[in-house]
Amino acid sequence: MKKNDYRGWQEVFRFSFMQGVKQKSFTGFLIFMCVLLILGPIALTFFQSGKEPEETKVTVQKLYIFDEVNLAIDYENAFEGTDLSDVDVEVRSDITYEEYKTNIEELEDTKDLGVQIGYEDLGYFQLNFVRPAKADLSDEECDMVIDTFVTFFEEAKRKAIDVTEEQMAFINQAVNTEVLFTDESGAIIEEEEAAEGISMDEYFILLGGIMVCLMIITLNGSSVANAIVTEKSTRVVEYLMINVRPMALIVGKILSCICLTLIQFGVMGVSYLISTVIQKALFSQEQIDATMDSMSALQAFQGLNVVNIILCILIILMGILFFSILAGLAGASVSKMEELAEGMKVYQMVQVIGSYIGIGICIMEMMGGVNPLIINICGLIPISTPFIVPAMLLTGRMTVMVALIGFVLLTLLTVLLYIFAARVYESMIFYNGKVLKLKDILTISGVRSGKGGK
Amino acid sequence: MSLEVKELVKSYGDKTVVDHLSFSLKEPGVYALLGTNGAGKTTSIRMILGMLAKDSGEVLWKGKPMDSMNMNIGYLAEERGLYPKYELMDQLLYFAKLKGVAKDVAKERIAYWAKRLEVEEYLYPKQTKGKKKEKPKMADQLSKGNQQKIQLMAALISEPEILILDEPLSGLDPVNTDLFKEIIREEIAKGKYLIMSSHQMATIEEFCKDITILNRGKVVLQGDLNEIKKSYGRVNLFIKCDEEFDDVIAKHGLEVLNDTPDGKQLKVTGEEQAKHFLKDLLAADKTVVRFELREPSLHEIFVEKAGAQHEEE
Repeated sequence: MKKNDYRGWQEVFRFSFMQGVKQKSFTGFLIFMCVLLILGPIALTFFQSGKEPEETKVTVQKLYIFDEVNLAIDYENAFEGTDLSDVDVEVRSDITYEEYKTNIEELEDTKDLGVQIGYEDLGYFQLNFVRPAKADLSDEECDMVIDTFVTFFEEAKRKAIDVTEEQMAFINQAVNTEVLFTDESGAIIEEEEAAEGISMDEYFILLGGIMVCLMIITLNGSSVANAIVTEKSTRVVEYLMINVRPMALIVGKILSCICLTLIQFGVMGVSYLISTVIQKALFSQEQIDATMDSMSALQAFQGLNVVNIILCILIILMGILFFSILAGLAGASVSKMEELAEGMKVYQMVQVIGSYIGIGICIMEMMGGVNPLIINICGLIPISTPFIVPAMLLTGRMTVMVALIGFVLLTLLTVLLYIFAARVYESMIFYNGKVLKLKDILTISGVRSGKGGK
Repeated sequence: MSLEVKELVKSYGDKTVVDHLSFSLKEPGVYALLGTNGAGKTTSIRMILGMLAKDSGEVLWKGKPMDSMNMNIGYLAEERGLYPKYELMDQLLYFAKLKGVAKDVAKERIAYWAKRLEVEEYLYPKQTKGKKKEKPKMADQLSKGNQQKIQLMAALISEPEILILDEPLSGLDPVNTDLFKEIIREEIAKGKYLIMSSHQMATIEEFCKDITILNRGKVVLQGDLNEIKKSYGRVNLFIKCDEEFDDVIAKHGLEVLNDTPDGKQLKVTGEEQAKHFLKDLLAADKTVVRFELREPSLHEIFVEKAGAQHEEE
């Protein structure tokens, strides 16, 4: 018997795929996700756009200016052409800002604000606002007055020193600094890249990514193992083996599981696109953008581009393949459905180790940061690659090169596992007895010498 | 010579489960592969079907190595195999497709066998007026006997050249047993090659010309069933009289193998002793209502051969 005879895998694939599609759990989950992805974003945008900003009623009557920098600025026109044109502006020089501040705090019936414009020794302008604490002024209206005045001041300042907007933008560019460290001899030593922690939002994004990968891989693995044990325990395998060889059987099953997963993702993607199209038809671009902006967690996806997405899909698929072959072996090591949990121990242990490495990295990142070298090393361990690399790559915490190396290593291990499976699967598929241990499987494969069993 | 099994050997570790098994089916008919539980029958069948790698030996079909994947073989396994939660029609079409039967042809054959085996209601859900169409049946909603019928359909759907039936009648009621027997007879009449394994010796005697009895992987008896029986001679005497005849039995020193309301089964050395015994019965004025002298049954031969080996071990 040729163990590597793959004839008939297409039929196994078609049948397994169609039966998978017919499963209520598959269609139920798919419908749920489609509804969620189509209606969720629409509902979110609807509710966001429904929140029309309440028009802030400004009752502030006057803004007193305490100018200590003497720039040639005409403050009296500060609110001209704005919604606050009713607010008067008066430059005070009769009293100091400190005196005004002391007086205003005691007043209850005033609706005036004061601002001190100063220049600090460290080289920047300082605008200090003061408002009567006991007066009937809302935070919103005060903020509106302050924001409008600051905008006016920035513009007036630029005009006062006679620079264009472009020049100002250039001047305002962020200044990057680098501190070099030298050793006793004066030579520059490289400082280890500072590890920065992640926000809670980013933590949930990373953890969510790992959990999604874990869910996909677990679902696929368990469905392959279940299918194999079902065929073994019901003896269907006896019928199949006349026309299909063991490896063709497992290949057909794994590929059907992968296809079902891809369909789920594909349909989910299409659902989201449909949702986007509907959103565009129903809402303005500003409303959609505002909804996207409100989801600050999405900002964590710094590495979101086509290449990275394709690489992530490939890594997840390879992960599914690796863990499905492992699950197939676990399924073949038992004869009854009720023994499956025991047979899956090794599979689960490998999966738990792989995913826990990823979760550990997330927790360490949140607690203060992990050295990127450690993230890379963990991403290169094949059993943790599918759990770590997609999340790290899409959030910009891992380079494409490291992800590629991780993918290659995972592929190599998958190929080795497949060769091993091809050696033992035929003997295991007809095995009917107590749960096979790892050493028994190694004995069957010839890696260990020992007695076989029927 | 069409099907030839030569020196098949299979071992697991240091345990040989099939030890140099050879037999052949020279012409269409039924060959019986017998043995106690664990004798190596199923392993032998799996090797013949190419499901299991053999350590040595070969299986030839019309003089060439047999490749089950390129042949039309029907198999009814001892332990029935159906997916419990999939629709029966889907399963039958799947098995047919694996054997290279086109979907429309498969559907026609399914319809034929469903009618023949009286399982139409499970494969073609009814739609009564004013009521919702019934859901297609799953295997786990069927009785054991009906599941077996579906299995037989799966084995016959490709109109196989070789049919391997492992315990085909176990668990069937008398009506369905007769139905299965009828179908087996039809397949024999069509010139098919059948290998049958069963613990029901009467069924084997009914269908099989040649037999092999395996015990612990070894062949303990093989050949033409009639020849084997003849070699034992007519040593079983079944006798029933209206009167008690224990005194005549004692006079001849015969061993009573069975004592039933239908008479006694006695062990004789041959036809001569039987004739003397009958003569003495008549002389003693006994009314003989049954006198039957025959060879040992396959059941007795099997117990003798396989049972003896068991005791030795």
